[in-house]
Amino acid sequence: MKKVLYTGMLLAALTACNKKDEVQPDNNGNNRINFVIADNLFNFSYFNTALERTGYLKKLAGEGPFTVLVPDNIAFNRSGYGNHDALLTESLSILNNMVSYHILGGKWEFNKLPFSFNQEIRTDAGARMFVTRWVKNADTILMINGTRITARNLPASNGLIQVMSEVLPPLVNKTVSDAVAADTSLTLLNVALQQSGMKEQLASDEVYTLMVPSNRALRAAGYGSIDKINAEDPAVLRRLLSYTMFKGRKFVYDYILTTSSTNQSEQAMLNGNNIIIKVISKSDGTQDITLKGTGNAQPANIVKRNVLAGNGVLHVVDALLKENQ
Amino acid sequence: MPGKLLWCGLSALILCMSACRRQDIEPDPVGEPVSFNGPDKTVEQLLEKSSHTLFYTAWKRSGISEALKRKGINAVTVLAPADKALQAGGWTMDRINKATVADLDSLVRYYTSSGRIEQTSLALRPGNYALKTLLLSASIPNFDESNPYQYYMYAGRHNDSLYVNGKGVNKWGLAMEATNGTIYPIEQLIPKPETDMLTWLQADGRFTFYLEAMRISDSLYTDASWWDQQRQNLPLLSAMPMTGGSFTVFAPTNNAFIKSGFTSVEDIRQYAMRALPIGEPYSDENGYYVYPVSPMDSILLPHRMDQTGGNGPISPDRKPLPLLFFNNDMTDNKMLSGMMIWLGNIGQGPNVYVRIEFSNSNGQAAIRRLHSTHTPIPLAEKNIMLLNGLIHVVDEGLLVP
Repeated sequence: MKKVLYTGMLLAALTACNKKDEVQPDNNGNNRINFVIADNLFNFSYFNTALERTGYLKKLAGEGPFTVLVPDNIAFNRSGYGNHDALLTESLSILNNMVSYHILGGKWEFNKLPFSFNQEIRTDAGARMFVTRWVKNADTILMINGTRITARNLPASNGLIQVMSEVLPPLVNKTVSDAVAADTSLTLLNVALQQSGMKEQLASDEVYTLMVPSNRALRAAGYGSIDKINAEDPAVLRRLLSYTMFKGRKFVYDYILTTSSTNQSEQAMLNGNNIIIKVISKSDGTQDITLKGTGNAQPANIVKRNVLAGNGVLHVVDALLKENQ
Repeated sequence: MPGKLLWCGLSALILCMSACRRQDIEPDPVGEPVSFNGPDKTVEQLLEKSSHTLFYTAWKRSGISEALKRKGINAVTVLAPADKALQAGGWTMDRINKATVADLDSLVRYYTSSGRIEQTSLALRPGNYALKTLLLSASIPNFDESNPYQYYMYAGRHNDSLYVNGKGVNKWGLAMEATNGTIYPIEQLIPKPETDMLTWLQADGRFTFYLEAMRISDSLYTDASWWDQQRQNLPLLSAMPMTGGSFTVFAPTNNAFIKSGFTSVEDIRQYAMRALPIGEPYSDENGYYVYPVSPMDSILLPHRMDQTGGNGPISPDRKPLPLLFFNNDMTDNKMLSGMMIWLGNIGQGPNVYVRIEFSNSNGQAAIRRLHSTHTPIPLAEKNIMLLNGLIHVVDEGLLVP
């Protein structure tokens, strides 16, 4: 009797952790991501070329699962690749960085994430990206690093394709301080940051969003040369620059999503004072924002947007945001 | 002693039984409950509640829901034909009730593809998206169980309509989202391709010049290197598992040849003989391996997107690249002209581009050879879907440089 009891217990113990049999997914090899891209070459030929040049196509033919953020042909066009030749002559290291930044491990259905701004996820290669899921009017908007997903969850047997409206620039700079130093249109700003002693602050773990003036904008504001900036009192520069940045991470589209029907909102800057953000509709149906400090006569435009760095985002503005003195 | 063992065993058993129970400690919810307004019905439930009575009956009787479960397909995209459309196609309730499960299965599978393509995803992209249907066929000549034929549908938004395979099938915006898929109601049946491109061209009397031009080129290739089938035209146009993928052919009528100066088959022969013999493959100055083509093919290859079998652009399964450009792709997708379809490899073939420029003339596509200054040629007939591709008829001339 005891033998039976022990045997029963042993059997029960062995089966205790058995998972239910699962149905086998339809793992038919010719429906993998590389095939879906080939089937839709009329929209994905640029990305396909980038995949072929970098050798990632083979990876996407593998077991996966992967989520691939595919910028469509129009997106490549918009991101400066006017034709395929531009992609063929692009440096392979740039392409490698770009493509690997568009491949995530696992199946990511972003529309199942919580309604929230800039939720951090990581690519297959470990780089960070930020996903927003939000509702504006009747539309649910999904964005990665401030770029809209236009077609979501296109299925493949080894993963999903999310179609992007722009090519995501890979994250190359660890800090916003590095991003400023690497941008040739921000050389004067870089000097001003050094002179004001704010470089280290922007190289810390703290997250910042910068809305900073281009060289041309600084020249127009009276800081036409490095000498002139170096001659300025660091405290004055610090006061000026702390009105061009704030703590936290905000992409341009974050403002478009959160601004009410008045199309106007405010952003508190690092020094505690606000700038006015206006959402404008452009002739091609897209939306953008303008920025205006209390001391600016005219609203300023963003000339380079959503440059992602490890500790924040950089937007280059065509005017220095100024306070009323 | 046995008592101790029993106690030990019992406690080990309790430990094992409870080991895999997950009871997360959930925090109390905060705030007001938000009402859920997403889909709450399955595809089958939505079909049942909709006016698609015939399609729903066919769906139920085919047993596809169970088949999907068995295959692990948990989301589908369904093009659901309206009752009127099914009736017009001969699928009355009586026939559906009497039909075999296999017949209904292939009817339903033809209109169903695996994976959910939401309406917003179709709307935000120009042209079509390729839907790989669940229907495979082993009964089409040259195909078999181990290598079945795969049916596709190409769906997209064009103006305010839903287009499938280049034809408007319903107003835009009527899709129904289910928990396990998206249903697009359609007002017309989508004809199933029956023949391949070669058979279609041969059956229609207007393409004798085109067929003869290809036959002559093929014979010249055979003369040059009989063992190499890769440059052959006619086999590529027949639906074969390995040679015939799916691609687009802008088929020129005899009239088109005449308008471009080839008034007879004799003219075509004379032109074809101009550059004989056709050379052997060679490495060009960039290191690409180039297969010389016949003089006639140098004119005609752009008419089929430069698909050249195994030597040319091929998909991951080594079939010709599936490049199906419907009228709405050509009018709506501005990126098609000159698009690169194949990345060359040193020691293999060079880059391949679509050597056609597409334009939109009052909603109708017109084409000309890339970089030429000729007036774009309108398409005399459009969107003829065949087993191995898509034919548009051009009547106004060839795509000459």
